[in-house]
Amino acid sequence: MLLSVSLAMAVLTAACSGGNGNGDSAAGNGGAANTAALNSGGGAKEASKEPYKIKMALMAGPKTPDSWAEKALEEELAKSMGRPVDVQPIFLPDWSELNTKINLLMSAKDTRPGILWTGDTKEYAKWVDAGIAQDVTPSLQKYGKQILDYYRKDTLFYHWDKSGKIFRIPGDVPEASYMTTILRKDWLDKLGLQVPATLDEYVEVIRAFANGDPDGNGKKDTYGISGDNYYRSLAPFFYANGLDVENFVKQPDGSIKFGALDPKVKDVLGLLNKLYKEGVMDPRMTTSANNDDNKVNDIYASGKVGSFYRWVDYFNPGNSVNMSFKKLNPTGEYISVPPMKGPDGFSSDLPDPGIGWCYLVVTDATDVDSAVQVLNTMATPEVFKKITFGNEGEHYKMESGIFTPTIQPEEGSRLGLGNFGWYVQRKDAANIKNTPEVTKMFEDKIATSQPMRDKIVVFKAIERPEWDRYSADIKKVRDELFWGIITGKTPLDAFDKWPAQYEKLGGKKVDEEAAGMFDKEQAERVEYDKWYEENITPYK
Amino acid sequence: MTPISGGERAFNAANIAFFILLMALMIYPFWYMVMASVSDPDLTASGGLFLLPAGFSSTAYQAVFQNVSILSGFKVTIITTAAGTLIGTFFSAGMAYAVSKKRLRGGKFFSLLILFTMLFSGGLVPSYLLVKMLGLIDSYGAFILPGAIGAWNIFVMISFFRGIPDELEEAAKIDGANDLTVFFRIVLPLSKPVLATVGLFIAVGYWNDFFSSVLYATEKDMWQLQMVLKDLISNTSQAISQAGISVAVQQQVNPFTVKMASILVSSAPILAVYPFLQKHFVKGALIGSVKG
Repeated sequence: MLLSVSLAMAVLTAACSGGNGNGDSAAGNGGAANTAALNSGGGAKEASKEPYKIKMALMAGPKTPDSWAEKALEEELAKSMGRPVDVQPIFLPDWSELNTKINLLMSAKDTRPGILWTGDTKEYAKWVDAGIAQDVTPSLQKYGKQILDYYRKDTLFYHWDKSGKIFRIPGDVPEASYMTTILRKDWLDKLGLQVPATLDEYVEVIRAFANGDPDGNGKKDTYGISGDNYYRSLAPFFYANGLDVENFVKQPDGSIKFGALDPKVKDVLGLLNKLYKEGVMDPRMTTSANNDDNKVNDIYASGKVGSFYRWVDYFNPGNSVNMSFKKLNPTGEYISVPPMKGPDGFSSDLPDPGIGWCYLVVTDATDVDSAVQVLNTMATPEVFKKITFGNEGEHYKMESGIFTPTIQPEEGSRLGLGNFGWYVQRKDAANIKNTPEVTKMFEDKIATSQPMRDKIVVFKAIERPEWDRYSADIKKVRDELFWGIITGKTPLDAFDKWPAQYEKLGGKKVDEEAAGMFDKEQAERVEYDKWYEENITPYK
Repeated sequence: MTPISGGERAFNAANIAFFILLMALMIYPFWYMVMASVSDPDLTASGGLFLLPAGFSSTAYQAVFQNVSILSGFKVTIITTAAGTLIGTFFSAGMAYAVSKKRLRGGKFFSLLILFTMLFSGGLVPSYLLVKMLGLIDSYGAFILPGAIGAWNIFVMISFFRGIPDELEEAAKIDGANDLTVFFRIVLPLSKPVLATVGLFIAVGYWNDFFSSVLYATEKDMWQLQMVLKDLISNTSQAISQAGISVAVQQQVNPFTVKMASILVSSAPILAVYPFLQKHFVKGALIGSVKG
């Protein structure tokens, strides 16, 4: 009998690991009750005495519970909404488990955050279909002026549903262009070279960086160019020729074509192969190991490379990579230069598509008006600065436009500064971390990236079945071919077979789908423009 | 004593050299981690690290220990590991002992039931819903109970218990002992090797567990240590490389040295316990495997 008792206890415990839960339970549903009360209350006015409880899924920053930033935000929200607000953060786990957690949270109403932060996910369409994601348009019209003023018309197009609704708000839209051509100024001076303006001049400069012993140690231990294993690091070569090998590109006749198929790509690959053979190009950038950002940052900081196509943010004095570089190379100096002009005089920086990379979804677990008020308050420059950087004079000081923290980074983490990042993350002057010079660089890049922005096709549709089906193989073959040619493992003439390979790999279907989507989205854009003028412009 | 021939001497020398090399291969990665964790992050970046630290800096450990969630992570993990190991070992032993007895009616059925959980699981979402409906979200129960009983551990124990002579039990029963007395006073004291082995398996499992926090914790105070460390290592650097943007609050430390320090901090307690359990561990694992 005792054996049976022991067995029964063990089976009971084991049941927790394998059972399938069915039925409803009230256990742990306090949040739902609160939400129900809010929803039935019919909005902010009737429930004004009650504290508004809002669960927010958060991904950015140090994820500090019960932080100073949380209390500061609650105070600001209470002021702007005229009622107490209880912010209840749900800190999301690291990137590898992010979608698992989000899917679990969204699986039941009582665990759903009122405002969900999410990256790109195909679940989004299901949330819209299931009525979990709420239309925020009417609330934006009433309470969302800051948000509507901040995001450009083009940006909101990618989040507009053709039913005339907006089910998600972008959380963070990068600057119009955030990468730049970087050169070692001290090496230019030492070798008596001018800042290059054309691609030909640029090639000569990086050759000199690799061969002219610019660090003066008598060894051939420098490279002309380095970067990660993405094509963006080769932008000075491709963009000077008006080429983008990752996207569909508009053609002069109005059609669109996969950029990697352009015959001019062959000439660029040939040039890169020469530079690789000559030892001008850092061989590390031809391997996927360099896709680790930290690795490239280390190469940048080591001071053995003359040029990169990399982040504008490096030019902020407080940038950690810049600080490491200065520590290791006290006399070294990097400068940012305008994009190189190609043979036809074309030049461009890398444009950001302007869609945003993370989004905010107001779910059915909260009152949408109140949630939009929360987001709008967070989007005001003053509140954004407060919850991101703290109080001026207490946590940081501004001297001649330069932001200097007066607290240690650990203290900033304890205060929870940055906890509410990527919730309408401002990239304008409110981002005081940028020096006035860097802010100006970002502004200038809007124009210098425009030529490629005009050429690159950005698709709005999340569902691209043919692309999803064939793109992995296409990209694999493209990368093997292109990097093979650059490193000399594949002959340059192999490029001639590439268009046929592309077609064989499903390229024709991808092209047809892209062309269809392009036409459809052009038409949708006309509809959107009209909708925007009626529904958004009057409320800005 | 036979004198050692030249050939044998050469063989021994080669053997020793080979095993020293093998040992170095095993030890070096760990040594490298220790050195990297105390190196100057900037010098590490320039590739100056091999056998000794490149410069000296405690910033990585400061970053790890000044993170406000590390202490709560340690607390959650220690409680989960201690309670989970006790509960897991006890219930596994109880179940294994019962099933190991031929006189248990339906013993085969229960064995198959255990085997079934080895081959099929309820799935992620049903498990989550079950734990949620039991009201265990954000509680230690959610971390401990779902992983407390493992089929493999039970089979190891069943094999061990079957090796204990029935005569011992019969003798105890003649002296008036009941099943519980036999289990606690006779069987468990004789089963230290297998208890230590399974206990260590369970403890390491709980110590390394981060996924339970992903699933069942919404409050950061309930994140297990490994989850806190994983987040600490990956968050900022991944954000930059995935999105190609700068992050508002960026840590002024090198993620590489922080990663090394984090691995050491998280593995040190288990490394400290392991030598004390090693002799039982080897014995227990061997017995379980041979008699399976």
